[in-house]
Amino acid sequence: MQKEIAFIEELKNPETQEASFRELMRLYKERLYWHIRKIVISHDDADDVLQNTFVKVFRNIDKFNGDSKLFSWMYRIATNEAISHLNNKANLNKVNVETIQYQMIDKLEADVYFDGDEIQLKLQKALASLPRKQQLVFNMKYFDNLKYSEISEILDTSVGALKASYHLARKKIEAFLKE
Amino acid sequence: MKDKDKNILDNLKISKSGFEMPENYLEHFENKFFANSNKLKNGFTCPENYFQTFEDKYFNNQTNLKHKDSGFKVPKNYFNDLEEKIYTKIKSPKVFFLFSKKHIKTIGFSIAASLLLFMSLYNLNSNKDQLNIANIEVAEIENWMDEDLISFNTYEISDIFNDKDLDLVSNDNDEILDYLDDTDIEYLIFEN
Repeated sequence: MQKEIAFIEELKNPETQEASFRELMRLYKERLYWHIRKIVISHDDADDVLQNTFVKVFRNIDKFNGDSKLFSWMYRIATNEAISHLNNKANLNKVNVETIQYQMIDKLEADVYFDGDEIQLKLQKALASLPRKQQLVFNMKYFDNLKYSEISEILDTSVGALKASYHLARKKIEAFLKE
Repeated sequence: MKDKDKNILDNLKISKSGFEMPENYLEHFENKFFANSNKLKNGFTCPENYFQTFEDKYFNNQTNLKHKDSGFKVPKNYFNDLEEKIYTKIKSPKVFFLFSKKHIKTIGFSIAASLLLFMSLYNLNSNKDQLNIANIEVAEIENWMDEDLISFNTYEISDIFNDKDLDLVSNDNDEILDYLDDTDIEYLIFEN
């Protein structure tokens, strides 16, 4: 914890900012990328959102008050950025977000940056059929192995509610995969 | 007496029965049961891996869909130059937009409301023919609003007008006209 506080101070200090921010990107770029990628599906979109996420982190680091862990705060920014990106895309195409997600998953088979098999594709379709919150919880718990306490900080939801969400998500996905 | 009996029964329920089993016996019981053989004791057989459905496979085993096994890939060396790309973006001059989308929507609404007010006032002092023309304009504006080309809510209005008196919009016609003169209406209409 002391280490994190010192690191945050370095991020806020103009003299050490560049080096520490590069370190921050080195540490978290891959984790955040995969988190974002699973929400926005395409690599190009994930790239845009990841860059915007780090830009926001950089520009708002002075406002970070340490109420949550730095990692949780960044995850929250990445989640919000990814969801906003999807919403904007849906607005631009004059469809709802669910439709956009299905359209993107339909394109996955032809995506050069996706080499999943039939089941992996089906899992993505199953995920898209879930409510947004359940999708997020499932991704963070199942794929990212985050603790409920960490997800709770990121999504600002109680651990009990998260457990219920994850349980429901799993049930629905299992049922979808059995179809 | 009854309580005493109940306690005894409760204690019996949770106390050890005295029977024991080999250590770790129950762990991986199912796996042990089906391991290396799909033959059941009654002689019937089932297809290999029948009991390992794919959801078991993906939810319970080590081979589940973790990041890199989820099928998603990234371009070669994508992460190598990412930091430089982001840092360049951060260091580039920040562009400030005079109007954010939210503000443009709110301003659009205030302009539409102002136009309605202006036309209403104008119609009071005009003849019937001019009133018909004005009605068409109002209908167009209403249609504009009905089609959600201007969307707003109370929070957005209060957000943009937090330093202004909202009554100004409906009371001071000169101020509205001044405001409209200073605003690129075509741009706002295009944006909304």
